[in-house]
Amino acid sequence: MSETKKLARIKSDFSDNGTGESYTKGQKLSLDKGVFDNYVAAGLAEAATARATPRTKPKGKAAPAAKAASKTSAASPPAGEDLGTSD
Amino acid sequence: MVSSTAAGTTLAISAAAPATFDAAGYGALTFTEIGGVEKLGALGADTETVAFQPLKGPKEKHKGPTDYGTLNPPIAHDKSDAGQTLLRTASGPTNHALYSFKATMPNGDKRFFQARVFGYPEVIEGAASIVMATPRIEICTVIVKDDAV
Repeated sequence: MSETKKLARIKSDFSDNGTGESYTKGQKLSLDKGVFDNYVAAGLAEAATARATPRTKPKGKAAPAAKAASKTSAASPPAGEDLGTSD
Repeated sequence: MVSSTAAGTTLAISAAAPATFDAAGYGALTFTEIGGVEKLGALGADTETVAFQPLKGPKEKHKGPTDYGTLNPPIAHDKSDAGQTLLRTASGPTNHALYSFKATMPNGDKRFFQARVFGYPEVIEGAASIVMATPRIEICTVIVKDDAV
């Protein structure tokens, strides 16, 4: 019998007595759907995205870009107002 | 017929419901084994006796409603065990969901049923004892037998 695989993120350390597998908090792996559903129902795992690490904005770079954007936006009207309509 | 000890018996739980309430339906589910189970206890239906004593003749006994029983398996408490964690989730006072269970005997015979879990009390006895839990599993459906060939 084949099952759909689900990408899971482990929420806390636990072990499965039936399979002998152990899981670590933060671990990301593919699980059979039935196994995934049971772990999610128990609060031990959640669905994960394919991205390996979460996207974070570098705080240092954002400030100068925001200042530059504010200078340019003051010189010209916001896009869309000239036409008076939106898409 | 060969008898055996209960050593090797397992109890497992699933959050899913079977598509059909037979061996095939339950067999298609994925179960997570509950670790540290010491014993299961009696597993089977008990039908109420409805008696009528006529003035003449012996007492008549008829079959009334059937209760499919309760399991109170003593379990060595392990908060990192996935099956026990799902059992604790099922025992939440506001959790009214039915969960599917599978008991597998050493010879491969299986018993399937659905139940609600009404509690997961932790038992802390003396220093020379294991911290245990005694969940109350109330069986709500017919117990489906799937004997090994």
